[in-house]
Amino acid sequence: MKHRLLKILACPIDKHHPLELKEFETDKEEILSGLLLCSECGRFYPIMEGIPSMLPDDLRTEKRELEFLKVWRDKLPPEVVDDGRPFKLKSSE
Amino acid sequence: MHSNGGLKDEWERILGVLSQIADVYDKVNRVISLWQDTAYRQLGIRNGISNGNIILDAGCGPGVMSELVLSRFPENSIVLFDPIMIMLRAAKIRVSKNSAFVSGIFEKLPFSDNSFDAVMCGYSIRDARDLDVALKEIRRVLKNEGGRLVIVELGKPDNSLLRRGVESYWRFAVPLLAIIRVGKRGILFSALYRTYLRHPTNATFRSMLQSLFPLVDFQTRTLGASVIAVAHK
Repeated sequence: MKHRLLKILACPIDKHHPLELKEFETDKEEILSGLLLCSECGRFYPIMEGIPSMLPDDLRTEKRELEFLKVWRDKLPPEVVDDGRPFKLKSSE
Repeated sequence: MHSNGGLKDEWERILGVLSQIADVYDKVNRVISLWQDTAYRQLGIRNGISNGNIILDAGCGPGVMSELVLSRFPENSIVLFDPIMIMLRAAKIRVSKNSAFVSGIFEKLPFSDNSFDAVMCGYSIRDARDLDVALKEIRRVLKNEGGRLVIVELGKPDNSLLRRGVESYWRFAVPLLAIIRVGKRGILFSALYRTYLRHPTNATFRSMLQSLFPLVDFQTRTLGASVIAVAHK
């Protein structure tokens, strides 16, 4: 995704806008891996293969997302590690 | 079965099937629509999309609708949106310029109010979990000034005889045509009969749209088996 998508992206659950962006891996203007954070409800949404995944909790795959978080462990904000929603990396380690 | 639409409890199963047929979906859709799908998509685009629009392609699948829009209006920006990652990957290969890709569902759109000039749903809205909630979410993200919802979809005739005819086509002919076109996996297309059964009749669908949008242009084709609608916010 590109930065300008942030202008319209909102949390699918509470519609909070703007979302906070954490970039892990970029290629020129394109963000390939990263996280979008909702400061309202505390949910994170992964950006994988350049595509933000913004599904509701019941359609998210815990195993896949925790694996993604583990790959970027060093770049995660502490609140996602300790208290991430819907999945906590800390309790899975 | 008459309903107000949406796949409800069958949604996850149907989406699982769609993931398995993602790579051939487009090919088969062409055959089962009797080669009319592109013409109907073009009609929807002509009726509801303008130059310079910011568009949400909701339920983009492999990106067929967006590709048609960008070939007509290369300056438009499109967000291609689908719950299925395999579909988005396929769409990303098909459409590259002026496009962004987001994964999510109709009923929980991850966009701010008042964001898009047009939302288009090409053969996708019947796969919503809850049609009424989906339409309300679409209305929310459309711009207050001139926002339009463009729907190209299978239709369910109001006349019971025609309806039975179209239902039989979906039940018996579609899986057969799919098997002829793509082989053994074609049998999975029989799941699409369920999505058709769950879909509301044309009259019900039209009144659902009219209850949410002040101006609705609702056209049917092929004896009511196809719908091309533009709803203005």
